[in-house]
Amino acid sequence: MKYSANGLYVEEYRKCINCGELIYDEGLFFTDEDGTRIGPFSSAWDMEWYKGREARQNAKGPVLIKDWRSETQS
Amino acid sequence: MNLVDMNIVDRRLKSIAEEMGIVLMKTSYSTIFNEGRDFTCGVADESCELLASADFQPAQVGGMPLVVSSIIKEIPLSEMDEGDVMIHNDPFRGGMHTPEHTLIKPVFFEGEFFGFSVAIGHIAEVGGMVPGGFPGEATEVYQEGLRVPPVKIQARGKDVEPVWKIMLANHRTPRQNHGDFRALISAVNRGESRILELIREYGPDRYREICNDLKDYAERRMRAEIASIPDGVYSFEDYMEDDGVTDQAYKIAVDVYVSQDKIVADFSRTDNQSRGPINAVLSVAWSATYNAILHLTDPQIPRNSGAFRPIKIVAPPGKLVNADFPAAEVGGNTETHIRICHTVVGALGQAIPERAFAPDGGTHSNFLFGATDERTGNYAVCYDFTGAGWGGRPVADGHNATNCINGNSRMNPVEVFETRFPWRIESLGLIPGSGGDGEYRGGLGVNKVLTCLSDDMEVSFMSDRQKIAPWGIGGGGEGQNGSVLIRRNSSPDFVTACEDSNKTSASKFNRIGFRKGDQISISSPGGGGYGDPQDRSAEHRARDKDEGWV
Repeated sequence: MKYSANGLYVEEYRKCINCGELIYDEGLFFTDEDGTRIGPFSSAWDMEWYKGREARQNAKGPVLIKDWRSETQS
Repeated sequence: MNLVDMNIVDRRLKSIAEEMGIVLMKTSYSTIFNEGRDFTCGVADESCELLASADFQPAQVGGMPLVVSSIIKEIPLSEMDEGDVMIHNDPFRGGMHTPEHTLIKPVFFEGEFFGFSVAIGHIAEVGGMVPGGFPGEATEVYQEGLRVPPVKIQARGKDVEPVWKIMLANHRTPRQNHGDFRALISAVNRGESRILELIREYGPDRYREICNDLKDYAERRMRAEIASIPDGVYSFEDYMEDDGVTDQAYKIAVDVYVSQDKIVADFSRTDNQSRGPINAVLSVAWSATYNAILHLTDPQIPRNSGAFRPIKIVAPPGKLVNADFPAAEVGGNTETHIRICHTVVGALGQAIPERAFAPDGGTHSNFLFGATDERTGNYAVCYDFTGAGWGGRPVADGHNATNCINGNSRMNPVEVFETRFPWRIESLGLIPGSGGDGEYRGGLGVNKVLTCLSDDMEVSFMSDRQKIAPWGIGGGGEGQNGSVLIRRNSSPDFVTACEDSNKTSASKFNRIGFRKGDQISISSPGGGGYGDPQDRSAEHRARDKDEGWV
């Protein structure tokens, strides 16, 4: 969330592009192979999940899920 | 961990939430509170985690931690004092939908902060483009009523009058709303006093310790339940039939990943947000997903934030399940929640069919109106809903005429409705044969026919399941679709809103004018059936016939 300098209104409703949670700081980003900055993400877990979309679609059998509890999930 | 103390405190916290709800119900002005019970009360700890909630509105339970934490993001604890009450309804800052107002009161014991007393209630009239706050044709949130970001409505026990004045100047029924807001404040006050009693009884350190144990216990129980589900990816899709503005159906798709003792519900394949007001915001996606999983797991697991820890929800921005500002969103919490919830049940039901159930009628048939009541000269606004059939289950038929899975609310009694509002109810009854067939059939929907008694009545509607029926499960049949029909005083025939007023949707529309003698006929859908109809027992078939249910 980006608030105006005077704090009276919202200038940008900033969300994690993976889980959709509101982000109240800058958030996390990564740079892809083309040099494009991708984000923001609310946690490293979200970044990994986002990067793994294609691999999950092609996965044969159950997908092992890393725990997100050590990170920022509220 | 002392299991005896933990169980006692768990029940006490739940009892506190229930007592808050009773205070709210008994002191409120609107029928949506004192008859419908469209509210939830709960207790949160100092980290905004839910400790307990009462069995009122499931739609508001899972999102409660998100709403409370969003308030704290904007009003830090350092700016809160004893006696403060915060209010918030902004769906794009953590709220659920515009009518849903959250009030929280911080609890301080001997100057030390211990958490919040929380009441969330659906205010029946919030301004905006239609009386009753459900504009079925809205295309932006500004049309749906007044948004109130997190602000103090009381500071150190005294009203913050400018906030009250701004809010009540923007509502069509200020007297009723003033009474309902006072009832919400009474609820959080009662919650605060009971929480303080509990802290005093156990001592502050022991109280904190037990609350933490309770959350950890709920987490362990939920992890054990999830671990009993076979690992895998389970997918399901369902649709909202239109958005009130276009005739396009919107897909809700979920991929539920079960891995050991964790679940990720990923909604990335869901359609993008709609132009009309069926968008859900993130707290709705959370609530709906938790609602589904709580329905599929042991009901004895304490319903606190610990039970939610093993569940991660992926709802990318801009999707129907997490719309971006300034999308129209009022139908998301009532209608789309149901569809999200049953989509998750449909997915996980493939892994645990013995616990799955068919969907309910999938709409609250939200009926909104405003008119001058000639008996009193007052302008009356009402948000009314109609129960639908519930889906068949592995052990029984679905319930008849029951508020859908996110509701748990009650229909207005005829006598109260006719006393409070300028309508006469001509008939109200179950719709035979509306439940999907099956070994256990779907519950029945309801039809009610009302005659208008005012010349300046304006009716709006927000519903669904008039084109895409509730599905059956395990070979069960579909429930029957619902309908909303209008008959003018001068005409013998009932017709849809499309035919009567050239509306795009027959299920979602804004302010159609009614005069004395005009009628509306509301039919809610039946629930889906469970299991092969050929397996239905002769005893059940005979009872269906005897009772007139088919």
